[in-house]
Amino acid sequence: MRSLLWPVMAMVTAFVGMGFCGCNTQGCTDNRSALPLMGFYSNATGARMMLDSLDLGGVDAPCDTLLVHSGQSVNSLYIPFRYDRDETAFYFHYDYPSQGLDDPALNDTITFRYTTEPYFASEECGAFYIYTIRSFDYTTHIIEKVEVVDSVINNIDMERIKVYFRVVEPDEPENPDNPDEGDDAGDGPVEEPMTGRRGVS
Amino acid sequence: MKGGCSLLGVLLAIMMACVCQDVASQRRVNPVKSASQGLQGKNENKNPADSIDYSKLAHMHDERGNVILVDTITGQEVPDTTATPQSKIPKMQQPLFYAAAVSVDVWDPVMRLFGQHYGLVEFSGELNLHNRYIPVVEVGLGQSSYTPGDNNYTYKVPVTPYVRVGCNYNFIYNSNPDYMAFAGLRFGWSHFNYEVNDVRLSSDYWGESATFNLPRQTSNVTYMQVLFGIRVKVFGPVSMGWCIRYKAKLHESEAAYGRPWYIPGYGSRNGAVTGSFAITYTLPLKKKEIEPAIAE
Repeated sequence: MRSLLWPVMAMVTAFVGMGFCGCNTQGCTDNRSALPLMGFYSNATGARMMLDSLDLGGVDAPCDTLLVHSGQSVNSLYIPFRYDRDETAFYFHYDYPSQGLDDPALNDTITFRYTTEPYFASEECGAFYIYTIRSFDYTTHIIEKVEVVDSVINNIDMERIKVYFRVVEPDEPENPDNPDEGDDAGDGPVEEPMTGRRGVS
Repeated sequence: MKGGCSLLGVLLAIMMACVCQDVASQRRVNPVKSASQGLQGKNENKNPADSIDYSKLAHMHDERGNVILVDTITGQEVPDTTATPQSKIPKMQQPLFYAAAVSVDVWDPVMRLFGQHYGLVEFSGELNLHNRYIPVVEVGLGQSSYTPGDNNYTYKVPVTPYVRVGCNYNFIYNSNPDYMAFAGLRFGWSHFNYEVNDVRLSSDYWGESATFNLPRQTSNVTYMQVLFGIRVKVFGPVSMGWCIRYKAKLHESEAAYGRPWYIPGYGSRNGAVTGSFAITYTLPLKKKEIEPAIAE
């Protein structure tokens, strides 16, 4: 009986061991490429803001393809950089005709200049280019300022670019009984995202 | 004056009565000698017939000369511990240089059949001291060429040697040496090159694609393993055993273009547990020393 005990224990150990080895793969918990994440903020409050009438696309993109269409509600966006160039530009068109902002002359453009470097992230996430932003510039029609939080763009899912828009806050809260409801802080849609001052080129 | 003397007499009588009552209320303690004080160390109930007469007990001797008492009612045999006061229990029954052994680890070849994409083979040599302490040296060859079906690269490590040193501790060193249950510690080092080739990128948005190779990189990794295992004799000098190994990197050199996925000797950097399955050939060095159970 004792002679049978050890082979049985060996088999159990074997299966436990194989079970451990089978659980090694964790999957790619980050992105499979280096995509800069851009977030939209109100310059007045510093809070994240939701835009629902924005056309955003890459300059010289094939067929003028857009990354965001008017009608989509976005408060952040992945913007792909080009592989074969050392700079990529994106334009913003504000489709707010009631406020007179849909004039193409008020479009904003952000241009990023960067260097690329090949990088192997992991078995699951694969290999890709990582980008190091060397400089950037932008127009200031509606955009107040642009911040690059981290100039190295890899596959870690974090927001590295912040775009602040000029926003005029309403004079009075819509619901005087509960003034907090008029605050545009947070991820909720903003009733009046962009009104008032025009940007300066 | 007569009345004053009589009053004083009454007061004195009252005071005497109070003093006598206090004395009477105290606990009386008599100095009584303890009944057992003069009998300590003596069995008061012992009778001359109570002494053990071994000549009248049913007993036998085992092969080491120990007295085995036999309960004549139940037939149970009980070692007589009082009869072997000088008996020596050997601390380690096996000699210092008990055995040497060489093993081949077939874990990686077998696991490659089940879809593992790295590893070749590993050999180890060990010196068994007292069947208890077992220094071990492990050398092996690692290799990988892996193109994941759902990813965009080919990872390559050429055939690379690696080495680990450490020691096992056999928990059942005084039991049947055909079996071993042990824990161990290993320190390993691996110096190797690796490449990531045929990286394919495509951007649906920009309509661009790119293919490139990462520059060849060199890495140095030191690591440790804590292991638990068992080994069973199969026939003659051949035994087999499993090992579960917890692994952790101690140092890894910087990598400009990404750290290696497969490290020869360490395995995949994913996960902290791996295993091994070894076939071992044992060469006895010295016969077992039979120590006398009872000192003469």
